[in-house]
Amino acid sequence: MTTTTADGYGAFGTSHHGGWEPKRATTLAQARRRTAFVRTLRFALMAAVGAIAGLVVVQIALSMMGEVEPDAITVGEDARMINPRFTGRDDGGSPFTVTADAAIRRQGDALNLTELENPRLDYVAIEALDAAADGVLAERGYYDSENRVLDLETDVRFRTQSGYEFISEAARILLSEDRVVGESEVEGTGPMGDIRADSYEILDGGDRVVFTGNVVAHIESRRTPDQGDQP
Amino acid sequence: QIGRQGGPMDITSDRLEVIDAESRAIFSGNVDAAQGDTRLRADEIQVFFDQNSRSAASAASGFGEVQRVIATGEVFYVTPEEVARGDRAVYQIATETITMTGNVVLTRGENVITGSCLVADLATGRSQVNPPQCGGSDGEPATTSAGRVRAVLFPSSSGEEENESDGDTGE
Repeated sequence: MTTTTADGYGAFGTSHHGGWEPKRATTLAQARRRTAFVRTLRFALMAAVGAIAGLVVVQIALSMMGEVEPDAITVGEDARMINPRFTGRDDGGSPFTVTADAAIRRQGDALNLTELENPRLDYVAIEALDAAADGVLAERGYYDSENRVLDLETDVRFRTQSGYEFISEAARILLSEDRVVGESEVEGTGPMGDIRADSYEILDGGDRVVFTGNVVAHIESRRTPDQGDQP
Repeated sequence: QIGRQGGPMDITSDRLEVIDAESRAIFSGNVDAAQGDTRLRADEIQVFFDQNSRSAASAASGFGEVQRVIATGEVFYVTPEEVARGDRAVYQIATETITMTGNVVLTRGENVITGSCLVADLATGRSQVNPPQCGGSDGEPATTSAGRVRAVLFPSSSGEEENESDGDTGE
């Protein structure tokens, strides 16, 4: 049988009256250090709460301003590829294939952007202007595989499925939309005659073509006044 | 064609839209069409090509002949002999006529004739103001010319006084 005596409280120390009391902080300095530590903790906690609140506010502000564009992953240094080949389909399901003599991925360019030398395009709506061109549409091009856009530059020559022939210095072929936009001067020949304008746009696979800016059209007429309808 | 001589037609404008399926070209904005010594100016000119004479073998072989021209908005038809002004003009190749309607003013030299409808026959060179039947050549029903014809005619020999006539039809 164990006996509990006043000593059983020895771990709490005994007062000079012999009664029980909790053990006191041993020294004033320790007490001060402990207070300072608690104060520091409290300050750190308040700072953390403030920082989190600030982050939440900033995030809300960013999302209201629209999505933050993710940085494009870029190429380390120039990479050159021979006989590149890019395939895909437009929104109507028609297949297309972009090829070229060479493809260059320049340092700093985004991964989805490729510079092309003598670009060619195998696509139902567009073909090279003449057989001698061997399918080449322009001297230089840029293919954006992500957005399926082929930009053509320098001596751009092509024919559309509906019979238009275009000579220009720039053309943007939006393969996903089956649309071509040319923001530079163009000379073209269409089913109605020769046309010259400051810019052009080919829609609906060539069924509709819009020319804007200083348009000059030359329409040949095989009829002469005293003749009836020509066959 | 819009002129009696035929031949190529040159059209300038701010904008041109070509609709392949309809063999139609829409010129808009300061449109000026010239053929030989004849000019047609308007805010908008639509040129309709003959779809039948377009070769079925290849869609790209080209539109057929010009079949019909419709000009709207401040229309001026100018030949070396006369200037006609109206709100709307329809040139129809089958009949070789130009029908102009809406505030028509026909000026030949110093002579001026006004009316609501003018029909100019390109083959004969004759023009009628407010003929009994007006229009009907562009798919829209022909109408009877409304209003009266007013003409200010200057006899060709000098010295005679001004002769103003007012009637139903003027030629």
